[in-house]
Amino acid sequence: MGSTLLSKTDTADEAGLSAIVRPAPRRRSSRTDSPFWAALFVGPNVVLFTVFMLIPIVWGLALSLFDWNLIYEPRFVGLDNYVALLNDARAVNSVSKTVYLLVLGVVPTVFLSFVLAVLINTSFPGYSVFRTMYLLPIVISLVASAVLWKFMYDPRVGPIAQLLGFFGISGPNWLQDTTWAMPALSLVIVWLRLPLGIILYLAALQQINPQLLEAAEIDGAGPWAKLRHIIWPNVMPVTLLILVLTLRGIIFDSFDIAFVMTKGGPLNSTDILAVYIYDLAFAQLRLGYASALSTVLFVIVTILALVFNPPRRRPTNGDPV
Amino acid sequence: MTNKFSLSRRSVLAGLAASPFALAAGSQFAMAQPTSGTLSIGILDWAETGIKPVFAAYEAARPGVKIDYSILPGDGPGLRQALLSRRLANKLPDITYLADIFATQFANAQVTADMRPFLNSGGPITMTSLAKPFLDQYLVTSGPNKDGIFGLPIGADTVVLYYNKKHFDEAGIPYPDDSWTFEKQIEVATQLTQKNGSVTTRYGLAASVPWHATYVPGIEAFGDTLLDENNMYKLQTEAAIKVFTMYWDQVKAGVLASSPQQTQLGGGYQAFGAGTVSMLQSVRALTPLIRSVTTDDWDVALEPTINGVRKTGMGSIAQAITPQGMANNQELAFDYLNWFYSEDGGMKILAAGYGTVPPVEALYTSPIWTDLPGPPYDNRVFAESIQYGAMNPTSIPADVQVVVDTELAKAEEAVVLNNVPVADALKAAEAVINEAMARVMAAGG
Repeated sequence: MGSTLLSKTDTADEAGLSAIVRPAPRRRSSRTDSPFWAALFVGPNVVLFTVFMLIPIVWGLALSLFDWNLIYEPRFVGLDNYVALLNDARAVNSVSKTVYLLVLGVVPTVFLSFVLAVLINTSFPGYSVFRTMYLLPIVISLVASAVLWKFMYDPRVGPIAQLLGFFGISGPNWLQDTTWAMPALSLVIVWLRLPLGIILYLAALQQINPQLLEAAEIDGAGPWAKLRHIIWPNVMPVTLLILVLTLRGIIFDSFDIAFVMTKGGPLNSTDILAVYIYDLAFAQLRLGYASALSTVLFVIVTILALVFNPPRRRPTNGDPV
Repeated sequence: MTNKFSLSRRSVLAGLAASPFALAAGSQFAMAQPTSGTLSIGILDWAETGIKPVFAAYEAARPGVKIDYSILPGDGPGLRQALLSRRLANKLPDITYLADIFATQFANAQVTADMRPFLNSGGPITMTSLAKPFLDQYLVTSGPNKDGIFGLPIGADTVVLYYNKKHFDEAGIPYPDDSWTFEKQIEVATQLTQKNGSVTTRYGLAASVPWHATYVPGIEAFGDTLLDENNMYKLQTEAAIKVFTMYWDQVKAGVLASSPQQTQLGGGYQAFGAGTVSMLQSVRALTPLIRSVTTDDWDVALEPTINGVRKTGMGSIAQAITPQGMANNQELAFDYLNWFYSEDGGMKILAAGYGTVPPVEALYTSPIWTDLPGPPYDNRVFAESIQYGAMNPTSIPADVQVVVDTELAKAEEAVVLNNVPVADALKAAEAVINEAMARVMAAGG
């Protein structure tokens, strides 16, 4: 005797049954698995979200049903504020100006972000300098950018006027011209939104399998064909993300630019929704009406977000995404 | 160099009347000085430089007393929002600064308290101490606080003409004088204007046309009023159309820099200091800033006559004790205000900063400000123009004034940028303004 008792598993191995999947050994449960730790890590974000997002949204919705000027007691008016919106020419104009700004801002931002990302996604002497230059606007505050560009557009001493003058061109008074004021603002906004788009596209471009590009090159595909049939389809998800982020960014961040540079003028040509809401709430103290307009803006943004980034069914094990 | 100017009979009599009373009351005033406590005061941002020495002097005069001041936004909407928010949070200072358009609204909102208890408290500053036109701006004429006084003016400000002497010397043009008419002013402004192609590089005159201190005097000079008997705006009158046409024609010609042009130049007084504007309509309160940014020699003159009549915009910011101040810190607040308005107290220090014409009639000719070294040199202009003052009607609610300013700015853009006829632009503005007036009045003002 004296033979060693073999374990079941050893016997199984010798019997060639090692292919059978053995149940994983039972792990001792970690402290971090408990609901307490989940709450501890998620909790602060939930609290901040509730305090700074959820409560103000609900409060704003409720306030839109009242007439209040901070002085007298709020007076319940039901849907009167929403009805008044329909007859408010300035509100209609501000919605149309917001849509105009979106068109002028979103399309160039997406297009230019992609093109610049493709261009700087290469290695050449000094490319890091160009990359830094394109990403710089992201660190400049919106108000500082607005002040800077206001000087740029100055018809007397601004660099744009100086440059045009060098070529013998007399440019318009950009920010005092009802035709050019909105394009002038949209240029600033595109400049500010480019860095984020470039960063996202760069990340997406670097995810593309290089073997696909090599194979295409072997098959004789030129740069344009590679761009059209390989690169662009592969970055499509990022394109949608940039679309949504740019939409949101333009609608909310454009207030700073418009307020500092034109205050909604000249002649309401840059009177976007955010500027009008500010005027109603803080200049005219019509808080209920401003809240109603804010609710309309919220609905517009939500619809646009759902259009460009609809909710998808959550993937389960084995299901394709 | 100082200019002594002839004293008007009115000011001499006022001074004689006031001085014995001030002497008598001053002795009583000297008896009840607080020796401890903290007084909180909310001041406008642009006033900080001028008022800090005043606070330091008060603290030196009252050992043991401290002034804790906070900054309020200098723009109307910002000021209103800040004070109303503080009231909701029960955190109003003991004394707050305010502007005339908010007198009634802040009274109704319990941001400011009725100052009559202070003026009737037996101290040196009484109902008759402060210049009536400026005090009347803070007299509430309707609503639950009717007949109350909800602010004490800090200065007696009128619009005068600041002019760059160097520009005049270079062009060989005599300086402005009391005989100037509006037409003469425009003629000279046109001569002083410089252009590069179609772009004006130097404006002959800067005047904010949508500012009530510009158009109200003009309308009154033509013998009309801004409001009708129902408190509605009358912008379709011959007087209103003439006044706005006079100014906007010059904006279109690139001779006059109104608000948008001044903004593009970096601001009105900044443009004057930089030499991109030769003449500027402005007020004494901005003199310290003008002095700090202007290197060319300059002086001031009376506003020219319009239609043979001299009228000039008039007004003042004010300070008032808040309900919290009245309830919790009345003695200190009263003492501070009495000291503030005394000739050898706050007024002397404030006036020495060039930022104020004392709102005390007895001090209109006081050397505490008339003998300050120039520029400006012709200080009699500031006191003399008070008699030509034209006030913005106090019956205009603050919520409506915001709409007025916006609509008149839009009317100006329509006329200047799109060549819309002045009458049509004013008609559109009037409709919106009076709709707002009806709405606000129906809601209780």
